Amino acid sequence: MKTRIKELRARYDLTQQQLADIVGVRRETIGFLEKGKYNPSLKLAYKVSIELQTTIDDLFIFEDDDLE
Amino acid sequence: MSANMPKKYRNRILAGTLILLAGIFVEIFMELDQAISISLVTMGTILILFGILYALRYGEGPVQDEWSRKIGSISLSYSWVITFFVLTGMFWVNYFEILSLDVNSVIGIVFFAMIITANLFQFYFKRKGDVE
Repeated sequence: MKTRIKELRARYDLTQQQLADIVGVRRETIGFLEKGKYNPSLKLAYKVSIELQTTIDDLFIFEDDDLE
Repeated sequence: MSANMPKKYRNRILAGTLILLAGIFVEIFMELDQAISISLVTMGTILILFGILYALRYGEGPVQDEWSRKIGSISLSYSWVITFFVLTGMFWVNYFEILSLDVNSVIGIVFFAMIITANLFQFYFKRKGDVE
């Protein structure tokens, strides 16, 4: 899974800690989300996408391998 | 205590200090079993240390979130399964009289198997980022 979180976070000049505080998670969670290592709940994905003013499908990019 | 410290940790440290002082008071001024004062001092010290540690590490942020809860619960599940296998192994070892295990040994092995495997799985999954 790839994400655009880092790119959009930079656009809105937010640090990982700031985004984590806003969506109510730990900083590590945002770090693993950015690396595409953590598969978030729909609720967290929605919160992050709202905060970064985009949609879930724009934020998280799934490839065929990820869906197997 | 810092004025910026979150209230929940400040209260925890305050409670710990009161319990610690109660333990010292009991030890010095009251003729009670020493186990009571030792328990109070230990409880107070743990509350103070964890209060400070959590305040420094997490601050205003959450101690747990969906990522840490997911990893924690899956790690405990795996730990439970491994402990079950360890118990099964101990049963057969005892049954065939390969080793003679007393109750204390069994409790000790189960205790450490649970703690060690749960922490190892948590460590592994936290480094990996997810449980999948």
